[in-house]
Amino acid sequence: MNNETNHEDLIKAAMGSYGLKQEVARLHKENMKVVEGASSPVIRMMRPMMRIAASLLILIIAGSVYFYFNSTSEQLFDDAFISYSPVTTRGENADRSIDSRTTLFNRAYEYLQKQELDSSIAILQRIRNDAGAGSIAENADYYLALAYLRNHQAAKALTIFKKIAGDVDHPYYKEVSSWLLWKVRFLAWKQE
Amino acid sequence: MPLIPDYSDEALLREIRTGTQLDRPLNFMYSRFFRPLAQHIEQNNGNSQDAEDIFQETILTFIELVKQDKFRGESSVKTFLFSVNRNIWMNELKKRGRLSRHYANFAIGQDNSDPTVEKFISKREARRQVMEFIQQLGPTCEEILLSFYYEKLSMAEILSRLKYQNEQVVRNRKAKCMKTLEQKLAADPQTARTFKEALQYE
Repeated sequence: MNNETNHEDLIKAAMGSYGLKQEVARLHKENMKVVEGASSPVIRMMRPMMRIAASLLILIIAGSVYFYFNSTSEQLFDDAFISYSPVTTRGENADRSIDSRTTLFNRAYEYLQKQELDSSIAILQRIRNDAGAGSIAENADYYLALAYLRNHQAAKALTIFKKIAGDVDHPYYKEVSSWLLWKVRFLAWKQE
Repeated sequence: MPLIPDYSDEALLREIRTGTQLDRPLNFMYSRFFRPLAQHIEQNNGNSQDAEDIFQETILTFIELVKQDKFRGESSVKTFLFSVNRNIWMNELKKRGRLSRHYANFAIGQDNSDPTVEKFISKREARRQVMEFIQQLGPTCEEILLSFYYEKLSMAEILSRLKYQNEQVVRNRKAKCMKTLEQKLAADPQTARTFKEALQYE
């Protein structure tokens, strides 16, 4: 009898606990509809996507901040700079005018290396404006763009880089990637 | 959409202890605490379904403890719910074999719950077994016993809800359900022990 009474108390307690669980479960369902914004399956489905989008956005923002502070004239110049081996054209049959243009170009290149940018730019502009400069003028295109870039004149550099990128026959065509153009464009925007 | 009342801790505890309806306190707790607690689960190896299940269990645990005057009010309701939520989730992760040392250290470091609560949470499995045992009685017994012992309805009220001829038939049916349960428990001392373990908190 004692055992039975004991069980009866247990059963009462168990039913109390069970009833409470049932009631909480019922109210849970009702409340989840409210909490989840009328339990819209679209919103639920969107939540992981929104999380991914938020992560991507953070990455993009972090990348942009990093890119913004690392996009400098110096950095882009170093990235795009290509060593040039000065050419000597002196010889018995050498054309004097070509020889002088090559010498000029070599000098401009030396100025560029020494960061005497105004001098380098002045010479490279002269070569480019010289109708008979031929392939030297094409070299001057690229190095003038580099000189502008280093001289904090990204907009001018961009104009020349765009010209090279639009000419598949240009000897520096392959050096001007879309990525380089994008970076120079960004720098020009930053310098405005 | 239900009207969400605003409660102070005292008012919330009072309504849970003395109120007959849990709707309003639960509406309040879901609107106030679900998001931050769910976020904790989702940030610690759980998915949204885990977050819902653990929150439901947290609320159930809280209400049972309050109704039995086991919540001592040494911390705020919010702090207490966070602690219970964390404890239940740690137990669940342990059960799934996915408890990381990092989370265990964090949960233990954060924990300020008292031993009664820890003991209650540790009996989750035993309580689950009791619930399953009751479900095995079938829907009729379940409804009669719940109406009588949980909702505290009179035989006349139960009669109006269930379609029996008269109160005596309901009484007989209830006695039969109780006898079945008694017999089952008498025949299975282990289950009886599980009942005791699950339902005695101190």
